[in-house]
Amino acid sequence: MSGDEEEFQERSAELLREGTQNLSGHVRSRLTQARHAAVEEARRSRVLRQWLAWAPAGALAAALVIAVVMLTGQPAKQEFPAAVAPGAEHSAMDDLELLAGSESFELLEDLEFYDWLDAAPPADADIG
Amino acid sequence: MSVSVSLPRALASVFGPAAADAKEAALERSRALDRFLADIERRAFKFAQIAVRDVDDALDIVQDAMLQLARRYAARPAEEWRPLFYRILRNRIRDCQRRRAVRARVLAWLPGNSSMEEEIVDPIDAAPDTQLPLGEQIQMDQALAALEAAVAGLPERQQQAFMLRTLEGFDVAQTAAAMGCSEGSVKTHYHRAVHSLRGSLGDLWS
Repeated sequence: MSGDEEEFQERSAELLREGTQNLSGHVRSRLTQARHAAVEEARRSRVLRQWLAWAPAGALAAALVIAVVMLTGQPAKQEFPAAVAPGAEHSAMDDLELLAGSESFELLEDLEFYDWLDAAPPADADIG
Repeated sequence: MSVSVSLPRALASVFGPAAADAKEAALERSRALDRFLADIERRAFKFAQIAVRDVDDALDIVQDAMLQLARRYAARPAEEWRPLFYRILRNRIRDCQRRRAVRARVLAWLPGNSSMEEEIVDPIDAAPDTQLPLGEQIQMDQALAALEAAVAGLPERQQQAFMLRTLEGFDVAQTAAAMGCSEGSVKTHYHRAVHSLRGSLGDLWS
C-alpha cells in the first residue's frame, strides 16, 4: 500500500471515529437502552439454558417412575373407588337377560307383585 | 432433629461455594457483555447508518443485532463476539434493505406517500455532542458528511470491507469472518473501495 493510500486510510478512520463521538443525545440514549435490553436478554437466556440443562434428567426420572409403576402392578385401581357401584354390572346383565328371555312382557308389568311375593314368608310358615 | 438441621448445612457447605462461584461468573459475563456492547455501539450505529442512510432504521438494526448476540451467542467466548456481532449486523442491514425494496415497489403504486415519512426532529435531541470550536467542527462535519456520502455510494461489499477495516480496525482475516467471504475477496473489495473513495474525495480532501 502506498503512502498516499495509508494517509487516506488514516484520515478516513480518524474522521469516522470522530463522527461516532458526535452523536446526538437521542441516538446515545437509544443505544444505551438497546445495550441494557441486550444484557437483560442475555441473563434471561442464561437462566433458561440452566433450566433446560435439567430437562434430560427430569425426563429420565419421569420415565423411571412410569417404568416402576408399570412393573409393580396397577396400584391406581386399589387406591380409587370404583366408578360403578358393585353389583351394577350384574343388574345390567340381568336387564339384558330379561330382554333376551322368552317370558312375556306382561309379567314385567306386575313386577311389584312378584317382589312382594318373594319377600313374603311362605304360606306354610305359620303351620306347625 | 439434628439430622434434619445438619443436612441443609452440609449441602450448603458442599454446593454453596460452587453456586456462589457460578453466580459470580454469570455476573462477570454480564459485565463483559455490557462493556463489549458499550465499546462497539457507536461504531455499529455509524456502520448501519451509512448503509441504510436512516437514523431510526440504523438504531433498530443495532438493537436487533445486540439482542440477537445476547440471546444466541452470549455464552460463546468473548473473543468471538465482535466478528459475530458484525455478521449479525450485516444480515440485519440486508434484511432492512430488502424490506425497503419491497416497500418501495408497493408504495410506487400509491400517489403522494413521500410526505408521510417526514417527521419532526427535536433540534436539542439532534444536536451533536461536541467540544470542538465551531469553525473546526463545521469543517469536520463537512468532511465527514462527504466521506459518509461517498462510502454510502459504494457497492455493498466494498462498503462493508472499508467500514470494518477502517472504522472497526479489523484485519483481513477478521473482516473475512465478519463478511462471510474469503480473505482474497476482502482484499479486493477493500482495495477497490479505497480507490473509488480517493477518486471521489481526492479533490475535496487535498
